[in-house]
Amino acid sequence: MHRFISLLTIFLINGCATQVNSIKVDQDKKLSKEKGYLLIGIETNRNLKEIRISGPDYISLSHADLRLGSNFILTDLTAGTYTIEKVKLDKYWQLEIEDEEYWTVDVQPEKINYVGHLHVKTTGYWQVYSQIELINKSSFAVEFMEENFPNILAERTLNYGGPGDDNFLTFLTKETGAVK
Amino acid sequence: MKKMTLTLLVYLFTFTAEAKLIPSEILFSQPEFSMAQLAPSGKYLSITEKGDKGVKIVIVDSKTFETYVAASFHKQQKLTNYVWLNDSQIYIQISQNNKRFEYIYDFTFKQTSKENKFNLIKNGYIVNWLPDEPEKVLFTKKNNKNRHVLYKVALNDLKNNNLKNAAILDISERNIGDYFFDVRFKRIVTTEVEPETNDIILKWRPLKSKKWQTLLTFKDKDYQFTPVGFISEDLLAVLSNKDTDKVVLHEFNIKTQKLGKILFQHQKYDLANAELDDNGTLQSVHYYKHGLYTKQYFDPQNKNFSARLSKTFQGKTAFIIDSSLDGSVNLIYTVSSDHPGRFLLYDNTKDKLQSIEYSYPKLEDYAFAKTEHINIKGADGTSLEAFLTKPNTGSLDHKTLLVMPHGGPIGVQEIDYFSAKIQYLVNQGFSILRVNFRGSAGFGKAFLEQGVGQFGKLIEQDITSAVDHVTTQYKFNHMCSMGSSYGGYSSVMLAMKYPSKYQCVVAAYGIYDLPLLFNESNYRASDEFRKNIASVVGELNESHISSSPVYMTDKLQSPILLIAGTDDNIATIEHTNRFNYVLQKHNKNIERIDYQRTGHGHSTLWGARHEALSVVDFLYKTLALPRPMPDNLSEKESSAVAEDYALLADSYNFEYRVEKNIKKAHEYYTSAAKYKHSRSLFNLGAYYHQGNIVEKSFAKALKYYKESATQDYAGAHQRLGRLYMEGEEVTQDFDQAFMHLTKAVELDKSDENQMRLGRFYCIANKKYQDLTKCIDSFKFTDKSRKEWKNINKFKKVEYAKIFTDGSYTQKELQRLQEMIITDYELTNLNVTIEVEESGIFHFQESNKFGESGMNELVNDGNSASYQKGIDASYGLYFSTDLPGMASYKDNTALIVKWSKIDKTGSSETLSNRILWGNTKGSWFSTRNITNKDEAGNYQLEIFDLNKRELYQRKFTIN
Repeated sequence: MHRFISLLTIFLINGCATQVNSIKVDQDKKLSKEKGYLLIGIETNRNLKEIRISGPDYISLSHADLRLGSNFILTDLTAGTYTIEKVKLDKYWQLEIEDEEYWTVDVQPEKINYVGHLHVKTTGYWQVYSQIELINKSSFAVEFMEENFPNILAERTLNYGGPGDDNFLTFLTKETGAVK
Repeated sequence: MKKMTLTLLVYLFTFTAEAKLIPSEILFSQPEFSMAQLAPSGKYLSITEKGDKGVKIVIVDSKTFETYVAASFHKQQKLTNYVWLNDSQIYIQISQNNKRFEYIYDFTFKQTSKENKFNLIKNGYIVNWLPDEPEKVLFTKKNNKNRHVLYKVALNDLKNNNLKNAAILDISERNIGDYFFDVRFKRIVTTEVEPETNDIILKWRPLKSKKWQTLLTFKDKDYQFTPVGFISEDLLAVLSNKDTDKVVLHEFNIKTQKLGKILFQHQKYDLANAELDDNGTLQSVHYYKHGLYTKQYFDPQNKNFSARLSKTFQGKTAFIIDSSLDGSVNLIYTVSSDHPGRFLLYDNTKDKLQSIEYSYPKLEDYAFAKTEHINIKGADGTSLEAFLTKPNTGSLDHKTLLVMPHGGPIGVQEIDYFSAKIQYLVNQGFSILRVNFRGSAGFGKAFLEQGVGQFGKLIEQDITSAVDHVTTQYKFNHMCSMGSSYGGYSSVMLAMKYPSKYQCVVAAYGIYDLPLLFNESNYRASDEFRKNIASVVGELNESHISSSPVYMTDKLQSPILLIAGTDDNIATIEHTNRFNYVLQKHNKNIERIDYQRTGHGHSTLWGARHEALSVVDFLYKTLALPRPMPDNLSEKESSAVAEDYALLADSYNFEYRVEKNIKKAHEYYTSAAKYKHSRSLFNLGAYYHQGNIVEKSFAKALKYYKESATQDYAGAHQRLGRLYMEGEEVTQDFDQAFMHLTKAVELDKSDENQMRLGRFYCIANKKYQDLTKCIDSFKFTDKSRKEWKNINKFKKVEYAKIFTDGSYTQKELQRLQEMIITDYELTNLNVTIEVEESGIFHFQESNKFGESGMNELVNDGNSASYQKGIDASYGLYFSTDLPGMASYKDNTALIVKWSKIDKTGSSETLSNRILWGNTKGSWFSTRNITNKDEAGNYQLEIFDLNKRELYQRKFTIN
C-alpha cells in the first residue's frame, strides 16, 4: 500500500553524498570483488531533484536521471545493505523516509542487483501530497537489461535485492537461462 | 385488487424483438433513463434522462402522465443524487470538476425552467426531513473550529443560507463522519472512527435530548454484522453470521450490546437485506436465489402483491422501488438477464399499472439471451449453482463455450441480471458458463471458507464439474476459458490442467505468480499485509510455486490473450509481464493488451467496450470462426460491425488508452473498410498516401479516398478537393476541386472545411476565383478560446498557401494583406530578417534542476544524419526587423515553407505556414530528425507577405 510520507521544507541542504549518474555504455566494468551493480527503476509523475541512498557508499542520484516518466538507473557501488533515505522533489520540498525498515535493499558483490521501482506520485502545488513505494517489477528490469545492456547482462547474474524474498529472477536463471 | 387489470395492461406493452447483431455502442452505454423517484405526496414522479448534451430531470404527473423537463445539466455537471423535499422542491447534489455542489431547487410544474431557481447550499448537507415539521429539515455543516453542527432549519431559510433562526441541535466535540436520522423513533444517529483502534462507532440520542448513547461498535471481525433498523427503542434488527453458518436476521440488544434471538434464517442462502415497517415489524427478507434478488414477504397483502408481480413479469425481477407516503402510488422496476430494465407506475387506488420508461429504449428492438440456472454437484457431491447463457435460437451461434470464472475468489458471487458484456458475447455467437464455485458469497460461511487456499485446486474442480454437466447437455465445437482478476488466473489454470478441453484463454487483470503477492513492494511485503494475503491464498509455501502459471508455462498449450491495466494496484502489471515474458521464452502464442491509465478493470464504458471487442476479435481469429460478412447483414448491422472495428483501429492509431500500434490500426481499418466504413476507407487512403506501414502508393490512396467520398465522408472530399486544387499527385483540376470542397462543406460545415473552400476561392482560376468569398470564409465569431486555438492551427497553413500558391493583382494582394493584418493585428509587412544561427542543432538538457534545455548549434553546415538517442534538428534561428524604431507593439508576419526535393529536382511541399509576432521575440523554424527514413534533400524558404523571398537554404539528411 502506498504510504503518505511527511514533507519537510528544506532550508539547509546538508550533504556529502557522491553524485552518481546512470551507466550509458553497455560494457561490463572490471569490478573489484567487493563491488556490484545497483539497478533501480524510477517511476515519477514529476521531475525529481535528487535521491539519496546511504550504505557502504553514500550516493546521490541526480536530476538528469530522475525525469518525469519511467526510467532505470544502473550504477556500480560497494556491495552491502543500502537505505533509500531521502527524495528531494525540488528546491523546497523533500520526502524524508521515516520508516527505514521498508526502504532497505541489498547489493551483492559481482552481481547486477535490481532493488525495485521507486514509485513517486505527488499532487497539489501549494500543499504537496506524495505517495511513495518501492515496487517489485523484476520482469521489467530483465527486459530493460536485455534491451539496453545485453553485454553486461551476459557477464553478470541478475539478482533481486529489493524488499521481500522474491525468487523470480533465480527461477529465470535456472529454468529458462534467460538471465545469468 | 383487480388481478386481471394488472396482467392485461402489461401485456399491452409487450412486443417481439428480432434476433440481430446489437450495436456495441448502445449496449456499452449509460442508461438513457434512470434514478426514478416519487414525490412524497405521490403527485409526481421524476426520472433522469441522459441525452447528448447532458442529463435532465423529467417530472411526470402521476395522474395525467404529462411530462415536464424540470432541470437540465450539461455534461461536466454530474448529477450524483437528488431527493424530493415536497411537490415543488428537490434537493440536488451535483459534482463538477471534483467539487460537490448541493442545491435546493424550486420549481413549479409546467413553468419554464428559466423561472425556476437553483439555491446553492453552502458548506453542508441536508441530513433528513422531519415528519412532524414538513417545512423544516435537519442540516449539518462544520463551524470555524472544524466541528460538526447540526441544525433544525426551515427550508426557506436554508435555501438563502440563513441559519440565524435555525435551532442548533448539536455541536459535536467528536470527529463525526455522518449524521443520520431515524424517522420512527426520532433519533439522531452518528458514525465516527475511533482513531486508535479504527473501530467504527455508531451513537444515538433522541432529537430532544443531549445525551449520546452507544448504539454499536464495529470492530474488524471475521463475521458480518449489518444493522437493518430499529425493532423497538432497545432492539435493533441486524444481519449477522457470528453464530451461524448463514447470514441470518437477529435481534440485537442495544443495552447489553448482544445478539438476541434469530428472527429469520434461510436454509440455503445468506440474507442480503431485510425490511421493517414503521412499527418495527419484519416485512421482508432478501436473498439471492438462483442468482436473482428475491424478496420474501410475511405480510399477506404484500405477499399477494409480490406474487401478482411475479406472475405479471414472468422471468423478470419486479420490485417496488419507491412509494408515496400514503402508499397509494408505487414505482416499480423490472429487470432480468434478458432485459436491461423498465420503470412502471402502479396506482394502488385503481389497481392500474402504467409503463413509464425503459432504461435503454434503443435496446428494445433487440432480442437478448436468457440465462439458464443450473444446479449441479461438485466432484465430492457439494451442491453448486451455475449459469449458462446461450445464443437464442436462430441467432448467430458458433457452438463455442466460454467458461468464465468469477473474480475474488472468496466472497464474490455470480448473479443473474442483465450484463452488457455477457449479452455482447452471446450476441456475437458465444455461450457463457459462470459458476458459483466454493468460496463464492451467498451460500454460508462453510461454503465460503472451503474456497480459501484452493487456487488451482478445488475451485477449478468445481468449475470443471459444471463444464462436464453442461457439455453432456449441449454440444460445443470449441471451448475457451475467460476471466478477470482471480478469473484470469483460473482461466489459465483450467487450460493448463485440461489442455485437451480448452482451445484458447482470455486472461484479464490476473494474478499469475502467487509468491509475488507476498512480495509486491516494500509495504506489501510487511507482516500485516502478508497475513491478509494468506487469508485468501493460504500461508506462503512451496505449493504456491506449483500453483502459479508463471512457473508452469510449459503446460499451456492454447493461445492466450493477456489483458492488463498499467495502474492496477490489485493484480499489478508485474504479474502479466512476468507471465508474458516466460511464455515468450517458451515460444507460446500470446496476444497482449495493456490498458494505459487503467486499474483493476475499466472505469469507463469505452474501456469495457474496447475490451469486449478485442476479446471477440481474438476469439474469431484464434478459433478461425466465420465472421458475419456485409452481404449477410442488414445495413444497420453492417454499420455496427464497422464501427466496432473502427473503434479498435482508432485506439491504436491515436494511442488512446493503448500503446500506439499502426500495424494493428491498419489491420482494423482494413476490416472496417470491408463493411464500407467511410472514415476507415479514408484512413487507409492516408496510409497509402504517406507510405505509413504499407508501401507508398498514390494510386491506392486515391482509390480509397474516392471510395470514402462515395460513402459521403466529408474528410475524403476535403482531401480530394485539396489534391485537385494543389495538383498534388494528380493533374490540377479546379472543377473537381470545387465539387469535392463544396461537398465537404455540405456534409460537414466545420471551420476547417470552410477555410479550405475559402482558400480555393482565392487561388482557383478565374472561373471560380472570388476573393470576397475567400476572405469571408476566414471570418469567425462567437468562438471559444479552445476553438480559436484549433482554428488558428489550420488557418496559419491556409493563409500561407493562399499567398504562396495564388496569383494576384497588386490590388488583390493588398486585400489579402489587409485580411491578415486585421486578423493578426499586424502593424507592418515590410520585414527583413537576419540570420542568427543556421545549420544542425542538438537539444541539450540543462545541467540545473528545473531549467529547461535548449537547441545548440553543433554544425553550421548543410548535412546531418540520424543518430539514435540524439535529439537533433536542422533549420534556422533568426531575428526580424521593421523600418524605423520598432517596439513591442509592432507586429509582423512571414511565410515559412519547407519542401522535400527529389532526385529530379522537383519539390513536394512538406509544410507551409504563417509565423507572426513582434520583432523583439525569438523567431525560428526547424525540423526534427526523428528516424532513418527521413534521409533526403530538404529546402527551407521564407517569404514576406508581398511574396518576396527573404531566405532560402538546402539541407541534406543522410
